[in-house]
Amino acid sequence: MRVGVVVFPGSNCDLDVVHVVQDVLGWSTRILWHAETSLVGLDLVVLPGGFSYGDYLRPGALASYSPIMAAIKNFASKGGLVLGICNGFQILLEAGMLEGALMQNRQIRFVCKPTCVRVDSTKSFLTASARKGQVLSLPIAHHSGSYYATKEALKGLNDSGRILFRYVSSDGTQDDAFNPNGSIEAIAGVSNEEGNVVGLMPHPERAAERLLGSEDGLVLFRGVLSWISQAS
Amino acid sequence: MKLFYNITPKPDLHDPQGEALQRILARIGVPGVSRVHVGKRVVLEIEGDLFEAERRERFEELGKTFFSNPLLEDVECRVESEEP
Repeated sequence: MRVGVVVFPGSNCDLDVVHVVQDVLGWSTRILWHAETSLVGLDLVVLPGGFSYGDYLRPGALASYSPIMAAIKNFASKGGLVLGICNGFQILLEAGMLEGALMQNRQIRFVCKPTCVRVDSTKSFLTASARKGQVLSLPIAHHSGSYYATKEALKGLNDSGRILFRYVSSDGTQDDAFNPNGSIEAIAGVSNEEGNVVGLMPHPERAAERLLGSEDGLVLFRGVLSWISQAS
Repeated sequence: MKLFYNITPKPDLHDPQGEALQRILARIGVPGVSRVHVGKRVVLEIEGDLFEAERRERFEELGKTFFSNPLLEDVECRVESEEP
């Protein structure tokens, strides 16, 4: 497995992703500066968390115009796998590669804590090894993570199984008390129609070793293997 | 020539900053404020003029595609002489 991890000015979770992919999963990684334009030989490109361009204008807005984004759109159109985590999710939304937008958390506070998310669709590379209804413990750390989409967009997302994750209780119950940021329908992550472009606010790379309190993120990374073996 | 973009959150969306300001205004004794919206203003200093329709249109388009997120925000684009 060959994974590219994009570094934008202000990314700060890039090396966490590299550590998990390389040292925990044993896959090869390539660090890609945002000004690069070649993704040759890669299976998966990860847009990591952080504060690209200091969140100027809107989180993810300026990074969505980085030179590498045209290459990533082209890569995705040919079936390449693209994962946006936290700020990476914001970038994919701003780039129009996923539907919806992320607003400030409803309590206007930065929230950094473990959450429980339920896998509501397995129709993506990130959820291909998970079970529908499975509850994962994944941490969040963001200020603008309140997902929003119009009613029509939500219907489309629901009907086509593109809502991958929702914030829930530890037993999988959806209730406003477990929604950490005010996301509409408690949505924590979505995919595109084809399932090869995925964005989520929680950090699977921070939940990939027992030492850090959860290994639940590994089931998501391992989805890449299932997806690629199904496709070939 | 100056060009202004006035960007405001869509009125039907939750605006946590505006709501916080509204609560503080009530606390410091400013009555009669029924809603507060917090937006932003971007000012561009432009070389030449915008009398060519196409150039003006291009800047107006940028207001909707770059300076604001049309899902979350409304935007007004004005040149200096049109400012109230």
